[in-house]
This record gives sequence, structure tokens and C-alpha cells, in this order.
Amino acid sequence: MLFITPLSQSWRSLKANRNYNIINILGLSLGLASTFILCKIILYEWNTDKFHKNYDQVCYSSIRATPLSESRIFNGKMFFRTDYSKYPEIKQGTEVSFDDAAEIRIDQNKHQIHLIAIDSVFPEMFDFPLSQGEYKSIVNNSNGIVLSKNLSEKLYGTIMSVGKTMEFLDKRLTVVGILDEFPGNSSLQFEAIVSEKAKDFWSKGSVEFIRLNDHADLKVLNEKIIHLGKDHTQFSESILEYKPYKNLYFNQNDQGIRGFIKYGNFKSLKILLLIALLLFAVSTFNYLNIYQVTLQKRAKEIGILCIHGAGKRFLAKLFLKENIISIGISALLVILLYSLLSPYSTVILGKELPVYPFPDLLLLLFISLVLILLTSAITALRYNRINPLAFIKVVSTGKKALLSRRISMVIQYTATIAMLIVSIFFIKQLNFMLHRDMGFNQNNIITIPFFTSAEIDLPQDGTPEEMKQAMEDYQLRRNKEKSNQQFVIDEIKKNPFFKNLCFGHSPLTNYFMPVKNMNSGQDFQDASIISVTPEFMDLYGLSMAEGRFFESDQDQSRGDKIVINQKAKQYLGIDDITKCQIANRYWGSNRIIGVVEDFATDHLSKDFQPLVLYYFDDKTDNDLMVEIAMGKEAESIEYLRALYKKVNPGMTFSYQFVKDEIAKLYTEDKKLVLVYSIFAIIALIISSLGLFSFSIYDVQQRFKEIGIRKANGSGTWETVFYLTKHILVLLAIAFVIAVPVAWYGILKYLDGFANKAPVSWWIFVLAGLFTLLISILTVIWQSYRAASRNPVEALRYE
Amino acid sequence: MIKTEKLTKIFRTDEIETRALLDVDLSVGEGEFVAIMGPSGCGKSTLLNVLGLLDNPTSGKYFFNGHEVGQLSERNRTQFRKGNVGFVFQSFNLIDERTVFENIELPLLFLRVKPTRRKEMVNEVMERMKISHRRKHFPQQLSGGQQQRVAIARAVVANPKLILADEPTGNLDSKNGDQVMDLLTELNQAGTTIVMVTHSNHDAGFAHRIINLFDGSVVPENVITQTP
Repeated sequence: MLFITPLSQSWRSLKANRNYNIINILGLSLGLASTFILCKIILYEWNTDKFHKNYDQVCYSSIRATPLSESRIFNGKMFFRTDYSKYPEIKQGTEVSFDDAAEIRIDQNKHQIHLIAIDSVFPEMFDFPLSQGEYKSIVNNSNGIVLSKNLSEKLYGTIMSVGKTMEFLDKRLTVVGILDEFPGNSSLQFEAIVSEKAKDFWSKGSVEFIRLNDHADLKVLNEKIIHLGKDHTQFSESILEYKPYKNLYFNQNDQGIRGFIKYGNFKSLKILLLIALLLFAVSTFNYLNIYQVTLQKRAKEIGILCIHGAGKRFLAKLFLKENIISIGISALLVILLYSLLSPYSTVILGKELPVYPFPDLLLLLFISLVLILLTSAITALRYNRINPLAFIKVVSTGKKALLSRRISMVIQYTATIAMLIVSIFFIKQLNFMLHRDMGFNQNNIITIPFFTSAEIDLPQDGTPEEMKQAMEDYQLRRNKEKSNQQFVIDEIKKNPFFKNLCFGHSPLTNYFMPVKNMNSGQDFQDASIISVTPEFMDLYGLSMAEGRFFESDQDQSRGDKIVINQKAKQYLGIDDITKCQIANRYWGSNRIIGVVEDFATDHLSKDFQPLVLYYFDDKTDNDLMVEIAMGKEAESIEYLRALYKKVNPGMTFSYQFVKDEIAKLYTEDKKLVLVYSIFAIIALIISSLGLFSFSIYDVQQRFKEIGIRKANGSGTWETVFYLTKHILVLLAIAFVIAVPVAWYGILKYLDGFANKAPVSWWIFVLAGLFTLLISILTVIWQSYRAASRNPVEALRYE
Repeated sequence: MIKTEKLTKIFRTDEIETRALLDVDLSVGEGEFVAIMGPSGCGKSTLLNVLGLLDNPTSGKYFFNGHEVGQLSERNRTQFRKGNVGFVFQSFNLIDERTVFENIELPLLFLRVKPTRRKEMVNEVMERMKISHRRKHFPQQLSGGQQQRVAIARAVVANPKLILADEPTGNLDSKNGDQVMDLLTELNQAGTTIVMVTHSNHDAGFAHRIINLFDGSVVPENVITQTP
């Protein structure tokens, strides 16, 4: 019977060693809270999209433009007019169009919002709940819009915005519903929903989703549709494939639609899991060690129980009950600590971790239960065979227990030191990547989406006169647009704060298209495409390896000339650029006028990409890029803001520095560094709490010995060293084991990285010294206090 | 009730071998009160531990109520001890975190006596030991004499056949010591067999018989050992 002895007795036993138990519970609470938060984050990420009841049956369409191209998310139905009735595997399909910068107007103010356009199948396939309104009032209503709570607050200052209106293109939209918080993490990101009928053509992009019938074989379906695009002029060599929606979030290989699909990082998730396991291990070992110490102090009690008939089952139940109390208290403290620590989850997730009371309690209960069973089982095993006589006399119970305690400490500190080494390395690697030369000038270059193209608003079923008027209006807007563009260019060029103005995209914004060397017989393969103007080279400080860059007096925008980089030259198997033509799958063939030296266009973990630069002098839907004089950033931005407002009244001015754009590439890395460092420090704190308890116990056990040593001439600091030297030995052993473990972990992490920071010796030394310092500070006070006592106190006590 | 034949106990470490008991032959009849005496280090406590099944002899035989129990495993010894043997120690060995009631009921817990019956038995024995008024107190709140009465109560609560007492008055003043010896005598008169280790001739005088040990062996009754 579990409660053969009342809980109150266990409580009294714990109170008897309250100092140790308080430290133990505090350390455990910290470890448990950290493990709990990490588990929540991992589960949150892992359960992405699972709140859709049809999650397992939904697939998305993807395409490879040529067999050698990268796969990307696609709308096969739109391009190939897929007839679902021909495929018994498909139950239903939907197309979701999106616009991440849809312009709406409320009163005189313009806003850009992130919306999706859906059909009637969408709400059957996906479960994005509405807190107000119903889907049926939106799917066939070309004048309705559903807003998220955040967007409703932003636009109208309230979430009760049903019935309110806004202008979108030539329509007046009415808010017919409010989106509730997503019941979990979602790979699909949007803040408003309209019917697909709200607009004739959605230019930004769309995605096709299908839902499979029960027992449908996806492989069979994919065999049927693989060459569906063979008759399409643009996709005649394409490979079409439906992939499970449940694989979308962690599949960064499928290039998605920027702004609509959010990706997780499976590698980071694995690292988080590792951190959670390490922290759990450190906490468990620490708890066990201190609990063992308290049991040693209760050796007599255990001996008496055994003499009177307590067998190993009774002892196991005793430990179980005591662990239930201690770990139960820790779990309650976790709930308190959670509210303090959970805001830091924004560091990892970008938003505060949502609270789901019942599932969270279940998770906490589960972790606590595992801990209770583990610690009770290990303790019961250790006390499987005991000599009750020895326990009564408190003799020789120490040696074996001391050894096991030291082994546990070594394991704990190995994990802690390894975590510290890796977190220091992560900091070094991040620093290395942030400061590494990308191969182009990053300093003080600002990019602004200055001009958006005027859209033609042809009325549906309009009369010829109405159509003509719409065209004329459009032409007027286009002329005004061109005049504005020239005005802005002239104004900026006049201002001494700016130099090297050009249009296009920063080196980090690139698209992939299939290209091939027409002389080589190779098939089309993807290369990165950047649209540039001649000023791009000076702006970004590029260097030519061969030939020349674009020149405005020699070359024409949208002409047949291109510039490639060194990587592309190698990639496409080009020996002589003058004797070579490059074919673009969609844009025809081009000749190469120059080869630019390689520069990075992505995260520095990746190698240089093969690049093809096109001369496109499009000012609309491209960014204005210009270099700002040093020290004039604030004034320059204000100047540009005023200029923007002049030509874009009512619109929101936004800008980005290229340096910041580069820094954003490393957002995940920064999160990882922060998480790792925080939890490595927590591991060190927990281990230090354990060490503190041991030092108290150790000193108490050796009280007589200290007295005798001092009586025989040992000095205070000699005694302190004597008391602490075994800790130095244990730390040294832990360090020796931690170094290769951490090194292996680092090498595994860097596997596949194109740019790696060197794994310097000082990283290991720094982690070791830091741990040593904290450990010495932890134990020295107790040791010094004991060493500086009057020796007669110890001898008289005996 | 108890019989040993050539009981030997040797303690071995890496460097030293200590013969604590050597060919000890003794017997204790049911209802006897036997005192074991001898100088320090002669093996008295070791003998008591073996008789109490707290330890195994290295060689020889030990019969308890006709059963050979000398080579039982620790598990079986524990099972055998329960309800058959009660212990009274010099330093009382009460559990500080348990009340007087909880200390006394300990043997009954391991005999799986039902709570109601347990309560009756403990109350009864507390009445006998005249410590009922201290039932909710903790050991550190009691005097030495009271603690030893609690220890004796614990030893007898399960009505064991044998009580082993190791210097039961060693930590008590003479008045309390006498009270404890009176209690043991009463228990013996009620039929409990008692084997007591003692240094005190005064306490040995309460016993029916004295067994002398010297250097791990029983001294024959007609041999007087000379100590310097």
C-alpha cells in the first residue's frame, strides 16, 4: 500500500533537513520550469497546423520547372486547369490567393494588409475559427472581408468592427467577421480574408491545396499528374507533385510564397530538444544527489526501519512518497516561475507562448511524473541492499554513496560545461557571420519600395465607353507615375547626402529561374536572378573578374545582355564568356558581357549561389536603393519620408537598411545563441546549488577532521584548499570529458556550413574557467567559515 | 529456544581479519533471562547481532525455535525478524521525526496489522509502559528514561518471542536504569525470553544466568578470567 505511512511523516522527514530540501526544490523548480517551457515550445512547433481536422489528408501542389530545378509551391489548377473529377484520389481542391501588401483605404488613410482570397472549399479544408461571423457570409460575398483581431484593433481601434467598411480597389468592403486566435501554430500567415470574387485576378500568387479521399494513395496520384504541364508552353518540362501539407512547415526545400507561408527550422528544434534533455538530466542528477545527501543524514532512521522489518519495497514507497512531495512542490513553483520566464519565449517564437491550461497542466504533470518515477527508482536501486547495522551506526554508509555522488556531479558538470562551450561557440559563429565580408558594400545603403505600379480597373461587364474611360484613366495614372519617378530621382541626385542611386533589389532579394548554357548540352537548372541597373555595381562595391558591368550608354534595359558571377560560370560550365549564350527558360537567350566576383546572397552557412544579373530599369515594384552619407542617416530618412509622402499621399513610408536585412538572416541564429546561453547559465546555477549543498554536508562531515588538522598546525587557507581540492579534481574530469563531447556537437552543427568560425582553444578554456570560478565562489564561503573556526569547537563536540 | 553450535564470525577487510566470535556454543531456553557479559571488544554486540538475525555468522549453526536460521539471506532474515525479535538499544534508536505513537507502531506496520488493531495494541503497550500521556510527543521532547520506555514498548508491541537488549541502561542514570530493568523483569515474568548484553554487574543480577564472553569465545562457568 503506497500510503502505509502517512504523508505527514514524509513531510516531517523533509522538514528535518529543510535547508538541503529548500535548495533542492529551488534547483529542481528552475530546471523543471526551463524543461517545461522548452517542451512547450517544441510541442508548439511540432504541432504546427495539426489543429486542422483534415490535416492528414490535405496536400499542396509543388512544381519543379525542369527536372533539375528547385521545387517550389505552386498552383497547378490555375496553370493546368486540373480536372479533379479525373482523379478518384482527390476529394476536393481549393486555390488560395494572397496579397501581402493589399492596399485598403479607410477614410483618407491607406493601409497595406496581408490578406488571402478564398473559395467555398477553403473553410471545409482548413479550421481557422471565427470569433464573430460565419464563413458562409464571406465565401460568396465579393464585398465582404474578415479581419484578425489584431488588424481590427489596428484599423478601427476595436475588435467589434463587424459592419464597418473600407475601400479596396473600386469596391467598398464590409467587415463580416473576425478571425479568432489560431488554435495553434500555423504555417499559413494572414490577417484578413476576402472572397476570391473580390478581384478578377490575383497577381501576387496563389497556392493549390487538395484533400485526399480516405485510403487514397498519394504516390499513385502523383504518378498520374507528374507531367500535367507537358502541353504548357512555360512548363513543358515540369514535374508536378502533390505533397502532404503536414510536411510543409519543416520543408524549407520547397520554396514558398514570401509572406504567406512561415517555415520552421527542424535543426533548431532538434537543438532545443537536446537542450531540454540536457537540462532535465542536470536537474535530475542534481536533485538525486542532494536527496542522497539527506538520506545519508537519515541513515539511522533507515537502519531502524530495516531492523524492524522494512524491506526494499517499503523503502521504495517511502522514497516515492517523499519525491512526490518535493517534486509536487517544485511543480507548483514552476507554475509561478512560468509566469516570470514565459515572456522570454518571445525570443524564440517571436511571440509569447500561448497558454493552454489543461494541456499545459498535463505536460507539467507528465514531466513531474517521469521525474518522480526516475528519481524514486534510482534511489530504490541504490538502497536495494543495505546493512541496517551499518546504517544505525552511521558507519561506512559514506564510501559508496560518496563515489556515486561524485560520479553524478561529474556527469552534471560535463553537461553544463559542454553547454557552455557550445553556447560560447555559437556566439563566436554568429559574430563571425555578422561581421564577415559578404563581398559587397553593406554600409548605409537604404532600400525603399518607392513606387507601386498603377493598376488598371476594368469594370466587370462594362460598356465599351466605360472600358475606354478606364483605359484613359489608367494611362493618366501611368503618366503621372513616370513624372513622379523622374521628380524623385532628380531631387535625390541634387541632395549631397545621397550617392549611387539605383533601382532593383538588394543582393539578398533574388529569384530562381531555370537557365542553361546553350553550348553545353546541359539541361535547364535553377540559378539566382537579380534585376539591377548600371549603378548597382558602384553602390554595392562589386568587382569584376572578367569583362564589364552594365553601362547606361552602351546597354539597354531589358536587352539581351547579362552579367554572371564566378559561381555561375563554373556552374554552367562556361570557359569563354564571349563564345557563350545563356538561355533563360522564360525570357529567351542572352549573351554575357561580364563576370562579377562572387558575393553572398544568403545566410553565410550557404555557399555562393550561381547568379545571373539582368539589366531591368523598372522603377515600379522595385526598390529604390541609395547610399547615405555617414552621420546623415536621420536627416536623410526624414528627407526621403517627405519625398515619399509627396508622391504617395496617404501611403505608409517604409524602408530598410541592407545591413538590417542582412542581420535578419541571422534572426534564427541569434535566437539560438540567446536560448543556448540562457539555458547553459541555468544549468550552471542548478549545478552550483547542488555544489553548495554538498559543500555544507561535506564540511559538516569533516568537522572533526578540520579541528584535528588545525590543532596540528594547518593554516586557514591550507585547510580551505584541502576542503575544496576534490572539487577541482571533479571539475577537471568533467572538463576533460566535456571538451570532446562539445567539439563533436559543434562539428555536427557546422556540418554543411559554407563559412565556419574556427573552433578556437580559448572557447574551451573560457567555459572551463568560468565554471571553475562560479564553483569556487559557491564553495569557498562554507569552506572558509569552517577552516577559520576555533579547532577546540570540533574537538570538544567529539 | 535459541541454540548455537560452533558459531563463528570473522570480519574481513583488505588488510585485516578480525575474529569477533569463535566457536560459540550456547543455548537459551524459552522464558529465560540471560545476560551476556565481557570486556570491551569481546564480541558481545556481535553475538547479539547474530542472535537478532541482523548479521550472518561466518560459520557454525544457529537454531531459532528449531529452525536453522544462520545462513538466511537478508530478505529472509528480515521476514523472520518481524514479530519474532524485539530490540532495545543503548542509544534508544528512536526516529526523531516520528511521534511516540508512530515509533511504537513501527513493527506492527511491517506485520501489516490493520490500523484499528494497531491502535489498540499500541495503546495497550503504552499503558503498560506508562507513557500514554506522551503519545504525540517526539523523542527529543522526552527524558532518557522515557525514551528507553518508548524503545521497550516498540520492542514488545508485536509480542515477540525474544527481546535482545544491548546495554539498555547504558545511557541512563541509576534511577531510570532501575526502572528499565524492572520493566524487563516484568516482561520476562510474563513469558518473554530476554538476552541482554551488559557491562553492569548490577543489571546482570536481574538475569537468571550470565554468559561470559572473552575474546569471542564463551568462558566456561568454572573458569574465571583474570583482567590486569
